[in-house]
Amino acid sequence: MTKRDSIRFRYSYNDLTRNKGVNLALIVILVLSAFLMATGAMLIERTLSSMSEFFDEAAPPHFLQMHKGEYDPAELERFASEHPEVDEWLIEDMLGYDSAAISWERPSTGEGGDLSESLIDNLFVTQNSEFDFLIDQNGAIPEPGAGEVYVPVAYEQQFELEAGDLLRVRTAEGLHELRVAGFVRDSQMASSLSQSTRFLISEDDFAAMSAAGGAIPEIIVEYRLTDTSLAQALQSAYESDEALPKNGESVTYDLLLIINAISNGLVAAALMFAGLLLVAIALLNARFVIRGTLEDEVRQIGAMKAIGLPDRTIRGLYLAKYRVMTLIACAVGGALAIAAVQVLTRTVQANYGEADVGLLTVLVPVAALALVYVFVVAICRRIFGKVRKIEVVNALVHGSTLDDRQTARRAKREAKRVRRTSLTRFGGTSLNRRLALLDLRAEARQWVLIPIVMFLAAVLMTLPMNLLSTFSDPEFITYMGSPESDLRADLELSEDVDAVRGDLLAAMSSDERLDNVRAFANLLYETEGEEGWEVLRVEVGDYSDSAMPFIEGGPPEPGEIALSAMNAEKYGLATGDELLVRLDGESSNLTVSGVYQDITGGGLSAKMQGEVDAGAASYTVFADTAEGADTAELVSEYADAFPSAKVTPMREFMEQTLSYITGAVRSAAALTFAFALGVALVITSLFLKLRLASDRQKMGMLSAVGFSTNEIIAQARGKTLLAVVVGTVLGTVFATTGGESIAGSFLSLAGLGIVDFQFLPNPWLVYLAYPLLLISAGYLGAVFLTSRLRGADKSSWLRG
Amino acid sequence: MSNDHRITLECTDLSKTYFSTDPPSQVLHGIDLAVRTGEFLVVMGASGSGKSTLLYSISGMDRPTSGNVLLEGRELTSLDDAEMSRVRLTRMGFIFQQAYFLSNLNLQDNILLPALKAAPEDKDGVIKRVDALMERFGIDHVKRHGVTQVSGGQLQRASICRALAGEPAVLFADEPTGALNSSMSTEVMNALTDVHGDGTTIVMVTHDPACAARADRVVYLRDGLLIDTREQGPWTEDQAKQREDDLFAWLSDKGF
Repeated sequence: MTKRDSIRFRYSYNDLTRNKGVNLALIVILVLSAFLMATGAMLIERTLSSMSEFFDEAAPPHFLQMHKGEYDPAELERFASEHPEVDEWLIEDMLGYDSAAISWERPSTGEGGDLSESLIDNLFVTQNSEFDFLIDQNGAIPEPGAGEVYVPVAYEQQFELEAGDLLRVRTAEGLHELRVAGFVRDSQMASSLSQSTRFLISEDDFAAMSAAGGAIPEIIVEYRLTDTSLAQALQSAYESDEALPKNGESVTYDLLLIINAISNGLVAAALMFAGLLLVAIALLNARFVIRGTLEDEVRQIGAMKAIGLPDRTIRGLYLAKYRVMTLIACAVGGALAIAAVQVLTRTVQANYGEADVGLLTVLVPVAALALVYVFVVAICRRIFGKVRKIEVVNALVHGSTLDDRQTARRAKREAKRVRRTSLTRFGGTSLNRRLALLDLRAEARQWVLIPIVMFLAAVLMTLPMNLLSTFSDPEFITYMGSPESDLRADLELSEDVDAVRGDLLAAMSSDERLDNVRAFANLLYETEGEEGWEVLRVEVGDYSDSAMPFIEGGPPEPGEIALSAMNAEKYGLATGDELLVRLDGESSNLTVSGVYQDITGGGLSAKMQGEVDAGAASYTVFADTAEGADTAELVSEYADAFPSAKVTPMREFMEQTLSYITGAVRSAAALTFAFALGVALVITSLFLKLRLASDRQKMGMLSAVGFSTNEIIAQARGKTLLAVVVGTVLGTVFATTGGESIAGSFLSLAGLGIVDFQFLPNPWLVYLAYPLLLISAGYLGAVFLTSRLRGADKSSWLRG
Repeated sequence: MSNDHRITLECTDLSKTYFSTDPPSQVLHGIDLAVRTGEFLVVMGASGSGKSTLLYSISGMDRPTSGNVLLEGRELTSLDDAEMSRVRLTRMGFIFQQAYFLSNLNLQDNILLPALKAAPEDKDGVIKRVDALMERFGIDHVKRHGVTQVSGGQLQRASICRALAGEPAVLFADEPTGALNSSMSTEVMNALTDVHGDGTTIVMVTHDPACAARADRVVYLRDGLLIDTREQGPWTEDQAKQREDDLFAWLSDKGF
């Protein structure tokens, strides 16, 4: 250590220990910023690495088409041979079971239950030999033995299943018993947006269960391409080929990646965003503290300049403390981030496995921390640039950081201000209130810190909470291309699907406990795409009094069609344009009536007015429960009466579908919520501590001329409260308006099919509870700091 | 005038210990002092002798550790903060070494502040009184000025106006000339002498024998103990030099 370093170190140490409260508050904010930045960066790296390693291993298809019903394998052979870009392809046979048909038991304890709480399809498959492998928790490709089953990791978490448990599947011939050998991760169906999940069994069990009946057979046609960028073109070619099976969802590799990255990346993005906000808050504070330091120590600085120390040396001396503080904050924040990432990546690890620790694992968070360090130190250095402008005489004689010109300007400003103010004109307002307001006006440059920080804290608190309430709101279903309703029943393709639809609709319509029963049929129309005719999934039903919102135009009338935002973009259509469609060889020209948002199934859907009661690929019936009726009871009643229908309460359907996203956003929202409250408390305390220190003589004077301590405290608290309220209100307003646009652009960039995003906030929470909490936290800081003024000897204030 | 022997302010067995230091430091040791109505009393002593502490303890700015303070027969040490503040507002005036003013108010408003607070219902009367005071002390032409636009002497005269605006029973002055040059000091002391001439009771702490020479009585503090008192009688301009010399000799005896 050089002599200069040692002086700097000693100075930093002395200063850090002398102004403990102020330095601690600043360090807390810096630690939080560093922590969030590092956590966000690590989360992104860990998630992407896990996904990338997992995708490498599992080799998911680049294009897949699910299908229920008959198909001709020869046609698939032909299609593959006609497309040289197809590297490998396969047909995976699957047996679909309703969740209620699967139960489990733990022989050691006798515990058990069924999976009926799960609303997604359960597909039993055998391990593929070419690609699209299901991967076990050790990263291996398991081959279950006879009587063994590998269960999706999602169920391991949801139902707390363990290896060794027994799984019983109800077939037409009775129960088929399997023993849980382990758990598997699924590259295709890892995201909660997927409507199905896969169980891995042996060839023997598959054959036995298939023969036993009771399952709905389903296939996935999967393709690996020589170049993934050709997936979209292959999809178009596939869909325009009439002979190929396509009664089900089709997904490309890109969409798979996006869905997976979004559901996991949202938290990382939210945390990075919060981290940036906190860096901004830390910098505002550092600026305030540094300016205060310069004012406090101006005589010392003047003396150092007088004895000939160069500006750079003086600046270095003061800057050293901030370097040390930022370094400590980055180290502590980084260490905390490692622990937080362990917790936050649990879901990612369960679904994708833990990625190996590589160079990037260290470099990415270190780069984020280095960015925080460099940024904070650079800004501090800039603020300390003021040292250069301090004049020795002004510093030593007047204790002022200002030069003559600045002093004259300030005096002029003050003179102008006092000329406009007069206590002789003041009306009925109390003298204390008047003084507090005058103070706020005169010291606006300092006080503005509080509204800015509260503004940022309100955004930090409200934005993730709004996102969470939006994803959790039943009305979010409208982003999924469905009307708002209390329950839905899905009827998939089966021999008697048309008859079941008729019975179900009749039963529900005559049920007094249900209102507004609407049936929709899902038809596979065709329309002209770039490479000829391709499939257009159309939901046909009665939209005449649907409350479904359209971002453009309105619901379809007969002869019209409404398109999802992604379809409108794909075909370059807007309201009023014409679209040629055909069904069973019959073509018709339809006018686009409007555009709506849909994030399900890749976001490509359409809606037409009419009633179809036969020949549809599937049906969905929506209903509202009448007042006083119990949705859960109705759901279970109809599920029992119509076993082939999947009856689900809408709220639960939403919750399960969006569970990863809401789960992830919930953790981020909880974290930022707590941080926002902490920041509000810490910053107002820090600010007031410094403010009260510089206002001591003023308080002493007020006390001498007859103002009580309570009045002086009330003035300080009043000023703080006003500043806190203004910042919080503006922040809340921004978070619900500008924040909506930010979140909207982020979501629309993600390519999920959301182009017009609107928050669905809980108004009581967002407009009342959160701001009140934030204001209370800020005010609490003021109460805490000012209450210490009581009992002090007032003459000590006068001594400065 | 000092020939009135009624007592305005009195302290008995007054002690003050600061517990914020380690070990605690006792600054005043059982002070007994009575200030007569209309008297100009000066407290002198070396630095650290407890002069300012005595002033702030008897004015209720600080709470004495023990002992009693009576103002116009009213016991002050048992009052709570709000009551004590009210006493300072209505019965006391303060002048400090630094002229403490609110920089966001003009000079007139600064002077008006305590008087308006004491009698908000009599705004016109208060303004008239303050205007008269400002005229008397020669600062009415700068009454709309900001505090950074006037001289140190003008500021201290404004302090005197503020202290007098509430018609106090006693005026406390802590080194009122300590930060001024000699001509400004004279300006301020002339003003205080003038105020005393009206019958205002003044308790002043000072280092400056020339200022102390104007007092009716000088008390001397050493290490927190009141060790001597000197009655000087009423001050007249023509005896100024003689009083200063005599006081200086008295102070020299005490090692001042």
